[in-house]
Amino acid sequence: MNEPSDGEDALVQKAQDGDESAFMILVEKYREKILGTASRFGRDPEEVRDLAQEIFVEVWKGLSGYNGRAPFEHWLSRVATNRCMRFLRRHHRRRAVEVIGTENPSGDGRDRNEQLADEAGPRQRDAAEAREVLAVALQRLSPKDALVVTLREVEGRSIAEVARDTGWSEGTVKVRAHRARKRLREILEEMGET
Amino acid sequence: MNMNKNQASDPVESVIRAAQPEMSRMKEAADVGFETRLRSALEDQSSPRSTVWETAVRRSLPIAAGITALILLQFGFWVASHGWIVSRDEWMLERIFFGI
Repeated sequence: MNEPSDGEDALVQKAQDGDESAFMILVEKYREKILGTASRFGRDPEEVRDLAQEIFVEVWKGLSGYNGRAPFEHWLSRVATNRCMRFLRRHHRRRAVEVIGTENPSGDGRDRNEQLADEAGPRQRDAAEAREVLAVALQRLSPKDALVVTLREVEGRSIAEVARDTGWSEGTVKVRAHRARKRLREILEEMGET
Repeated sequence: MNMNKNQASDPVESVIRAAQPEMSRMKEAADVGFETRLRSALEDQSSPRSTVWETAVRRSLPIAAGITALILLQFGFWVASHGWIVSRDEWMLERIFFGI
């Protein structure tokens, strides 16, 4: 986790006053983190880039709403989590159709990610396949369950962090995370991933 | 999927661990040109926004076009049923649009 500093406070203040170059310094500082989060949700680099961009644009537009009481990083993380939740909701219905297509392929039985990964050798092909399996399984969860299990299991955030970023109580996060993980395990077992 | 059998027997942990390199690869690929695109997106955000009136006019344009098309259609029907050549009395607008 990045340490907040007076310098950062000054940058945030400047960005709130409309200084785009100050904001870009903040982007440079947190780009890695936000792209990392986006890569847990997007299924190809383009989706990851779009999601990360949406997060930063939302941060830029909503900077006036940041009151400085919590560290900037926490506020940024909350905005990012909310945006990821909206991303999951937006893609939930569309992806349901895609999942059917993935499970009943009509061509050579391989999807776009697998075909791309083939060019980079067996290890990456396995990783791409695992990513696709995970995405398909997460797709079968509700958006809230997919969010909590992604944040907890894939990104490794603590219960307290997930609660802070989602606005749910820690009890709710615990219960939901447990239930979602159990359901994900069942789905993976159904898919033959044992 | 060809995952190491010695990995954790928990399928959740196993699949996540196997998928991590792909997520890292996607992150790196997404990072290419990210800043340039973001700058462009921010400039779009900073550009002056249209006023409420401009938005209202833009949204009502299709409705206005629809009403115009209906009036023209009605006029067309009137011409078809009455003929183009009419007596001088009938040139009055009321007669054209209200058919009296």
